[in-house]
Amino acid sequence: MKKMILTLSLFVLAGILPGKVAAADLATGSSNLSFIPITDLFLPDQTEQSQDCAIYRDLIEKRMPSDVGNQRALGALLNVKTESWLTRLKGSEALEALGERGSFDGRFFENAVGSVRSETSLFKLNIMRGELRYINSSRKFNPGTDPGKAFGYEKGLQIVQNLLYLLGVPQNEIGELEGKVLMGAAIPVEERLQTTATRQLAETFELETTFFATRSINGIPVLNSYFVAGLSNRGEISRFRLRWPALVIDPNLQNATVISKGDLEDTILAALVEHNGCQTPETLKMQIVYFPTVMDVQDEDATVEELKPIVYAPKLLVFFRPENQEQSGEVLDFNLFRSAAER
Amino acid sequence: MKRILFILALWAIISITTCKSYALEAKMFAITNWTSTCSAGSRSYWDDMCDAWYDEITNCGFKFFGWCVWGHCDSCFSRDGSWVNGYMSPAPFADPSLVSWGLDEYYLDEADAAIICLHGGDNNGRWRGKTRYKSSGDCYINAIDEMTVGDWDLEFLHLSSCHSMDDNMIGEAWKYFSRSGSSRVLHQVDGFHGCMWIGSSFVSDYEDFADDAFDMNIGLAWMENMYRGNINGQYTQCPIAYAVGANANDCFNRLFNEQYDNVYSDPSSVGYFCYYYYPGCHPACESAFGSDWNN
Repeated sequence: MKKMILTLSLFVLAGILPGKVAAADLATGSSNLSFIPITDLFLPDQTEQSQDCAIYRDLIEKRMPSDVGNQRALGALLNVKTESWLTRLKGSEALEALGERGSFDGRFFENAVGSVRSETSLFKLNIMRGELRYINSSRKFNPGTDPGKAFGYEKGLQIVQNLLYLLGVPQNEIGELEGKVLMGAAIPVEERLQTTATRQLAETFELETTFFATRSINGIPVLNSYFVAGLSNRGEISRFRLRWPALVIDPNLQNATVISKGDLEDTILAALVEHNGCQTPETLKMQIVYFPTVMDVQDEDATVEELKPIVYAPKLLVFFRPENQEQSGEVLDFNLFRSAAER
Repeated sequence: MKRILFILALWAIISITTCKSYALEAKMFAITNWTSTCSAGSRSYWDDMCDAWYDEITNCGFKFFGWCVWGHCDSCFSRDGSWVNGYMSPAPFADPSLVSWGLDEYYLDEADAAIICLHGGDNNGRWRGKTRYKSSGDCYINAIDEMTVGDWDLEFLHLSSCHSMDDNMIGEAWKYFSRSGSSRVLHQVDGFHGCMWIGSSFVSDYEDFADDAFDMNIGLAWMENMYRGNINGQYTQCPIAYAVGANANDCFNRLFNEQYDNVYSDPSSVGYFCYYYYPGCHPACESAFGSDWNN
């Protein structure tokens, strides 16, 4: 018996209601524990700071993509626009492929924002973000009844590719699509894992295959736009998230000019020195991507965050990780263009 | 007609209520820049990443004619504390039964769900996190002999920190979950095998993790949202979700079913540990998962 709850098209109400609780945080911090060493009040955070770290400058110059600073090459990245996958969505067929046709009405996809539930499943839709989430809780791994062996990879891949097609995802925008088997293991605490012999005591299961798809347009990755799906050991889609907004370039970049390679190198150097002093890097790589930004609206208070559209700007990502194994890597993003307003 | 419209409008206003049950509490601890006392660079987006989790787990939204809109309504957690930088030393994470200066019952162990966001490393097969100031002469919270949580209140601990669940730590991590003499037990620790990454592009992962953990089990939500493949040859992240239970069935039952809105009572004992992993996942700073259990 289907039970539908639609929560949609609440733009007007959303504008007058709080999206999140505004409860005051506990402002812990230095007031809780006293006695900050007086030297720390005046010294910079980094002891190894150097304003012109030669090792960084050399690497930055070597790793900088050749198109940076090239108005013609980078300008071409601004002449891109894609449509929403919804324009190609085959809603009824997608529901059929998911085994949900009897539980949901394809007209749900005609809404802008909302969620709909059955007894076992959930769809969440946000057209402004190009996002569709599906979770079927009855298909998650059950150790009592499910086979502890993943569904065949090639057949599973076909199921996922078919779903992407029915959802309207353009084939030429799908970058890498890989499946990873998710494993579960249980071990008695007294046995632990210290030897090969005791590891064999572990109860292990292949729980599902998780498929991850990245997105790129003309070879340029679209950051944080992706598809992920869980495929049960019985060959059913147990959940997926499609985050695939229409690619619209930030209107602020109309008539923008590129930032010169030299200026960008100086900016990157300053940021790396600020964050890492001048530590020996293990990784310093760069990549041009389409970078998402939530578009500002005229009246900030008139809409909730979830209803603001996503726009994109080509940016340079810098992946940095110091040689020190106890320090995380960092991905910094840098503008490639200077807007007309900034000039 | 006007009267009907007026009654409908009044009904709508009454029906739209923010819902703040505040049954469970969330806390976050993050460092974005270290100090000359404990130097370790800066990572300006780390607090944004963990704040995204904190905002989402405490996002109550509102009810509209009985339907929960843009939030978690009666299941949302309360905002029990956001600590970024300041005088953060190991003491707020250390257990007083292990070290005399431990204060975790007022900080980390006082919440129901908590996230810690700071640099981490492998200290003889257990995680250690680097703070901004020292406790007892040391900049690190050493899980090996200073940290045990859940004995006061904590159920779910999320570690946004390198080496927080390396494969060689799997066999001993259950020791974080309680201490002798306490009937309270932590339910789950989520962390990373090897290094993880910081940046603005990771912020939404933490929001998605918190949001999903109301609709699917917490461990699976962690795995799905924190995994990053070797995308374009740049980085890989290898999440691990780790739970305990009295026996194997109890452990799996918890790992496969506990959600932020479906919290079980504490395990009756810690007889088994169980975990999710992606075999062969190969991040920076570590060998592929499962290829070297001793390092």
